[in-house]
Amino acid sequence: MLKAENLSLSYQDGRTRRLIFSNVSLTVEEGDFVAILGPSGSGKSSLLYILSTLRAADSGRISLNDVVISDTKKTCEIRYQNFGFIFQQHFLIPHLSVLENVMAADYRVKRRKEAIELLEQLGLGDHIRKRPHELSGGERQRVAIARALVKKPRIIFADEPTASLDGKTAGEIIKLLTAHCKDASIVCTTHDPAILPKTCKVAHLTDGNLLL
Amino acid sequence: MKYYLANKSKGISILFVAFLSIFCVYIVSALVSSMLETARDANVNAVTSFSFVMPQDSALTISEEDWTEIENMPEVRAVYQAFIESSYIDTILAKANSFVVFLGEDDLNRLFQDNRYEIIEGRLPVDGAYEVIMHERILRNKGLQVGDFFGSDYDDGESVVGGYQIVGSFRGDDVISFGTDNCQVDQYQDIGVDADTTKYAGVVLPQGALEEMNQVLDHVDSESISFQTRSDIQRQYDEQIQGINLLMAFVILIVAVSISIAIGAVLSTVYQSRMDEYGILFAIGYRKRMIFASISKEILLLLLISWILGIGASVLALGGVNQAIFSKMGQSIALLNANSFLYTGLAIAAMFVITLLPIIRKFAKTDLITIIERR
Repeated sequence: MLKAENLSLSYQDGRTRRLIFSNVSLTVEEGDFVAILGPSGSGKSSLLYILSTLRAADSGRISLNDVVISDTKKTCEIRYQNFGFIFQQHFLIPHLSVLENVMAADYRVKRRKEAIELLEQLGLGDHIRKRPHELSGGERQRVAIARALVKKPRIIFADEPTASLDGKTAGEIIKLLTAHCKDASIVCTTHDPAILPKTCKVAHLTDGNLLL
Repeated sequence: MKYYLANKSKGISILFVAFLSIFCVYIVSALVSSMLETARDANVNAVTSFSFVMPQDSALTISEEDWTEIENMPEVRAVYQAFIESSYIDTILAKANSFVVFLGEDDLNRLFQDNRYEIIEGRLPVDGAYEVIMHERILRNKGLQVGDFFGSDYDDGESVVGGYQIVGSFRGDDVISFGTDNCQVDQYQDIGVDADTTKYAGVVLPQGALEEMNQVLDHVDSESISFQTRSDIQRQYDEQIQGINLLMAFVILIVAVSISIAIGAVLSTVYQSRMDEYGILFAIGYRKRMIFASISKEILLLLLISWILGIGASVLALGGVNQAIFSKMGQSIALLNANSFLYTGLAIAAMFVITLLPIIRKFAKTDLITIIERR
């Protein structure tokens, strides 16, 4: 489904060019939960950003269902149609209600009914009119999950989604994510393997190489 | 707009500043328009049914030869011997010219009949008395009444020499005053000038339509006489107000630009603080131009609300001013006038463009994904 081939990334650090990773290849099949693990600064977030077209790699190719998406300018449309995102910070829009934040995921269709259903399933049915600042950290991240899921994306990209949460809440968030992503694949970066489900495929990014 | 509903103080500050500027621009442009319209009424509308003929600057009178030539023009029905003086009318911001025409009693009677002026109070002036009849709007503007006296003998600032009693007021297309005997002419008579034959000026009446006659008169090339037609006076008036209009446009531009810079500074801070919001929207698939369109829509809506509120408040304020001051002076003021809409519209457009420019620049230079990465 999502296929990355020979991705390389480096950046300019003063006068020297620093290699982050090279020749990384990865395949994400439908329904897969792929976790990218690695120490801080290993480039796992950068890899996730490249896989999701938020950033471009120095070289390599990414295809989605055999269509190359790494050399197109229509990355916004690709993200809108296929991907959902959860970040370490919830990035909820502070002046919108919980429901409006979830509905903001789709600018073409008003998915009010789906948003309410999803929020109820995530235990936020009583909070739909509240603003983000009225919620706890875990609740905010659940709203971010609802925003990522409401359009029924093919792939969810989660960049350290539990990093700012305590251990118990982090486990709950991952459980909710897997429970509500039956039809979608998940690509998740984390430095904490304990929170991952047993069925997930784990890829380690160390010293610029991805080891499956 | 949800942002401003959630952050009312910011929304209200921007609305208030824009509202104030619209209010000022509307009031100033309405007052200037009113002044110009009143001046136009007294100048251009003085000659709606006839034109004037006057000697050129170097001559004091019109020669018999010229007079006969004018009388024989096929477009001219009659020329009445007249002495023309300039009075003034007050407007809120300045004084404007107003004509006082002295004719023989018979000519005056004929003029009133031909032009169907309606005497609404008093009577026509008669020969042998220093009397005038004024158009109702001039009378109201001067704050005078039938029976009052008028002229330099009674008012130091009045340019009409001598003293005249106002014996009537009339309603008609020509906003002007008429008299019979003129003090200056009578002084000339005392030194031997024949008042019956000396032609100081003339009222030229058209055979058919005034425009047809004026088209001919406007093209008469003479060194000894000049015609003052409606189009001629209109042209002079337009030249005079050109400067005022330019000045007004300049003032409005300065106001709009200053206010826009102030609003732009506030908005720039507002949108800078919302970069997280735009970063996440961009990440989940919104295009930059969609985000930018929504920002533009927000700003435009704020400015339009200010525009409507500003115009509403201005109309109310002008209504009050009209009731308290203008109507008593006979000065017309259009509460809803095209000029004020135009100028406030231009001010809104300037504010929109000037406030948007730094935001466009900021947006074009910002990598929205970096905002998310930084966290």
